[in-house]
Amino acid sequence: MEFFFQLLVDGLTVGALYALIALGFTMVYGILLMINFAHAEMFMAGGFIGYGVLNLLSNETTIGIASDALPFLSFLETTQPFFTTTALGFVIMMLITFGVSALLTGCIGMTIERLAYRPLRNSPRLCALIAALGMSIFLQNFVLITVGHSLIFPTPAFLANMNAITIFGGVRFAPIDLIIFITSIILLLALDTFVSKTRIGKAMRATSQDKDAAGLMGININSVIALTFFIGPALGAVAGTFFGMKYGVLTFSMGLFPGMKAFTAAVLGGIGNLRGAMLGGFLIGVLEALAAGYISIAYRDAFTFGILILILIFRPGGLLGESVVEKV
Amino acid sequence: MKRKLSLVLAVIAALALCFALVACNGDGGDSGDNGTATDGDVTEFVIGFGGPLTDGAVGFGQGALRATQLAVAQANASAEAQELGVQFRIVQGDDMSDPARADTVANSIISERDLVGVVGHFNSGVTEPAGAVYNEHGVVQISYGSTRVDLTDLGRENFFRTCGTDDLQGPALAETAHELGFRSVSIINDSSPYGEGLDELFREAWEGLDGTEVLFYDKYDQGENDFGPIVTAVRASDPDFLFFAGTYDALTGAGGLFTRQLREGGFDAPILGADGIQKAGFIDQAGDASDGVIATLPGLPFDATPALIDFVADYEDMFPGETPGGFDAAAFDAANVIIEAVFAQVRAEGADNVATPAGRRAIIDYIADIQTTGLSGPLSFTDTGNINDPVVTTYIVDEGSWIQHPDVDIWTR
Amino acid sequence: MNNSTHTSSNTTAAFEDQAVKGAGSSAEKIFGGMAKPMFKSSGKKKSPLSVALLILLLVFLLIAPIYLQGMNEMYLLSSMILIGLFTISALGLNILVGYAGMLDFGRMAFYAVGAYSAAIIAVPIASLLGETLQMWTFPFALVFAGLMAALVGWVLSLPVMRLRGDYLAIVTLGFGEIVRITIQNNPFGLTNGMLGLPNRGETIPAPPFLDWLRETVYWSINDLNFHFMVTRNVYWYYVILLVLILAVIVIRRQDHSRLGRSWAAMREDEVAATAMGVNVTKAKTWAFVLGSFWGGVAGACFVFQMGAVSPEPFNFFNSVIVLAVVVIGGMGSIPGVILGGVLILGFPEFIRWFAMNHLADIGEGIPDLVSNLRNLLLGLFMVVMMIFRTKGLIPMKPKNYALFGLGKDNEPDPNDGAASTSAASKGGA
Repeated sequence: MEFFFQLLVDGLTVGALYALIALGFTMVYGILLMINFAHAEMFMAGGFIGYGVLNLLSNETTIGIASDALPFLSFLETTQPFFTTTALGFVIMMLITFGVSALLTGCIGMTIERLAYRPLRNSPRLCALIAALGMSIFLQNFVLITVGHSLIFPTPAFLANMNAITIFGGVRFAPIDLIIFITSIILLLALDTFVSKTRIGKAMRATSQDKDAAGLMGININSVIALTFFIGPALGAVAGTFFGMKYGVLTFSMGLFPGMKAFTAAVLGGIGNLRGAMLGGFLIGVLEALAAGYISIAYRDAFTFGILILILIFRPGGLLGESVVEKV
Repeated sequence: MKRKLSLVLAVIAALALCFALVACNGDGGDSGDNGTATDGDVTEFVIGFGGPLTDGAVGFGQGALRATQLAVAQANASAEAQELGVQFRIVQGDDMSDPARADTVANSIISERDLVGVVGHFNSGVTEPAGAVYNEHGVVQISYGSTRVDLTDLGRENFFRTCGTDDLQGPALAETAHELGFRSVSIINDSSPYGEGLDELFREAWEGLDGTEVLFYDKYDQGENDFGPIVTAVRASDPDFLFFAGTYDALTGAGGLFTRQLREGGFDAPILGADGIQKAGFIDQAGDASDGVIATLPGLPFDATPALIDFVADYEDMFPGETPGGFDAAAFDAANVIIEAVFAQVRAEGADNVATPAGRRAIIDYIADIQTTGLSGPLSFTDTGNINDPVVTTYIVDEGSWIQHPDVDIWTR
Repeated sequence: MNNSTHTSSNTTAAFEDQAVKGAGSSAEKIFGGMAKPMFKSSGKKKSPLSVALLILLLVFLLIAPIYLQGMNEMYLLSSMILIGLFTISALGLNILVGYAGMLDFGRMAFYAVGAYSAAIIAVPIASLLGETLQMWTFPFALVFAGLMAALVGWVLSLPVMRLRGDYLAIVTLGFGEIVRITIQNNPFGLTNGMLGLPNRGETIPAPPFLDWLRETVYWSINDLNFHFMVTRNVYWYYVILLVLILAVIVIRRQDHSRLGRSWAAMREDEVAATAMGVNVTKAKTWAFVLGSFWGGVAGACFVFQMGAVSPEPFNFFNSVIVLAVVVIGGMGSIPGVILGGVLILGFPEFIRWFAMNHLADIGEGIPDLVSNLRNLLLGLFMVVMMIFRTKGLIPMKPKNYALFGLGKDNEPDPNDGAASTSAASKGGA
């Protein structure tokens, strides 16, 4: 039983990351009916940016190099002890890291939409799909050439000193797991409220129902789409930075599998459906953890792809979605 | 339509023409004269080096390349080279640990006209297909790091290796663990050809020992980063130690990350690995979690013989900031074996009869019967091309570096 | 293309047959259709210039390996083999993407099925044929691999038939990964996991006459430093070239068959095609089966040429490369796909070779930088191509079929897609 609960904990943590990524897929699909392949790369880019920001705030060597190059950054030397030693400093450092990473990645997402996807909005959907795939390859290799194929993500000193929490006599929560879980839940709730309660959220929902009609009603379609391409990557960036902290590594190709699984989660929940994507993310996380624990970790990815294929064939609408009718 | 077809054909033909012209030109530029590149009285020979240099097991490949460069630099400066008027040059082939690249890399090395031998490759999965090319062209190949057993059973007369084999490390690891008092093991491999081979041989040896058992076995896909469930499963199996059959590279084996997540996930028992993790890069990747990890490496420790101590000094002298490790000593030996054979052939038949089919054949025959001194002592090869009297040393991570395990003796068969 | 003449009555009869029964209902029909195109395509006779260029190209392709091997440029030779293998695979994918409009992101799965089928069957066939005949293993294995890949393609086509384009792409991606992971885990002891095939102690038999050729043919011109012998790669170069030419001929004829026209109709507008009596399910199934066949054939050539196979090459990225060859070269256009193969696979290898031989003094990292840049540009190219030149470098030429030889001299309207033409003529019947 302890084994089962431990797998459940592992699965929920990973599932929280999948849910964050899945939102980006589902929002874009909801509005543009397009699988944004490059979204997985937003997750990757977010991780690398988060790594940079975190190092800039806490790593003495990095700060030294940065302030030599850009003198106005030298104030970081004075703030570094505060960030690395105190609890309050740690929290603020995390907030800055995630904030900057989300902001920058969101901007990358918007740029990509403007340059690569907007010209294709009226083209056949397969064209957009291939363009997204091309974008994904471009971003991966850009990181490969400029940064290198992998980076070791150091555990922040403050986290490393915290002890894991053990409950039920053996089920462990690492501190990072708790942080991931709680932060994701907050972000998911915030997004849900934003989309269902605010005016902009209403505009987004209207756009996803009928782009042209929404346009006629005075909604600026372009800015709604741009916003979508900001929020999705921003959430992906949070997931990417968490990924680096949890697993200790960033690679240029790290987006592919989490991206595929997040997409599976989005499809499982019903693509275009925000709550569905959240639910799907946690479900996929737990299912694959159980598969890995009880069958074999070697077949874990195959298992997830198997689920994806089965849903697409037998229930393309997903758990919470309506079955989609091909528009003619 | 007519125009379009013509356009296509014209483009392809133009490309083809460029191809041919540049190929032609390139050849002329490389070796404008006949036969061996001769500059005055000095004859230059090429030693091929194959290994992962930019991707895959880069740490091992780069280290072995440096050792080869050191061997060549020493040979070029030697009195014998001056007397015979012979110089050596290295041509590198970067296989990125990718078997699919093996054929291309081997063919690019074999395209060197003055090639006398190849030091390479590192990964067993690459050495085999690349070796098919060297074998076909009758060029000697000495691997410095491919430990898979069956490589010397392929009937290739041109193949030798200066490293040990997995059937040494399998038993060595099993006996070492047994000696340390461990009785139950959980085994994980990283789905690499190396990891799977080692896994099999370790298990065979382990099950032959008294009172041993295997509690849990699994493997993970290459490129995996998330080891949560497997850590949970390993922890639940509660073994005396974990045997990890794999490498540390972040894109493939990820042994360092796995170790880190094992420790963070609350697994406290000792972790044993083999030559795939005995490298500083593993410690960088695993961080503090690497403390106490045990690994074996074929060959003697770097302070065991005067020759090895000199080697370390020369190496650090030639490459400031780098320390030899992994298979560097084996690569150094491999290069020196080829160099010695070339010197012998130059003395016997003259410099014009070395980089020829007959000369290459003579080099292979010479190496098959060689009786020389390597870094670890006398060096000679068995009929199939393995070194005689191999040894395995056990190391442990202590305060962020690999040291020889204080409680384990050097293993011999 | 315009290689048969037939009487108008013949055409009419066949035309009615088409209208009633829709797409070909059996393999015989399809191949029968291939042999006797029922519509005349309105192409003109090839100009002497293009014929001359074609011959020049063929001569170049035939002489190149002799020159390269003789001048010791084995690297370029093995690059050309790589181009050939990927191009065969891409021609197969082109049937799906270019003709039938179905995206496949997991093409390497069929390559893998072909390679592994060939490797698995090679050893038993060789022992069945015995010592003297075992060199004939290759043709058997080739056909077997193609058929196995086609079978897998057929099986996969059953559940995915109703999926829309982008979902289909994702499913094929997932399928590709499942195949790779399964092979890696040694199902039923067939694939030997990561260690690959052939198993320890077994070898994939040499192809016909290779040993004989190697011993017999030896040309040497010492003055030019030219030494030619038939090595494994020279031999496989010609075999793969032959397979490639065969693939081009067969696929080209298919394209002009009834099946080819129903693919065209389906690609342009599936609903309209169904309404016009095209059996879309059948057309899709055949696209999968025939497309996968060539993937399997390429895989079999690969495994015999390499002499061994392991799961690594069958990854998602190589699937993307095959797709990029088709998309950048020109979807549905055979010359386009070939050009795509030469550019995408040949160019980086050529630059790498050039950098290794001539730029080594400038910097050691250049060859690798070039290959990484290749992938970067590949991605960028795919995006730019989709925005500015959706149909690729050499777009598919619109197919126009003239009834009763009428309209033979009319230039095809470039804006008039193949589908609208064939759909309209079907409607007319």
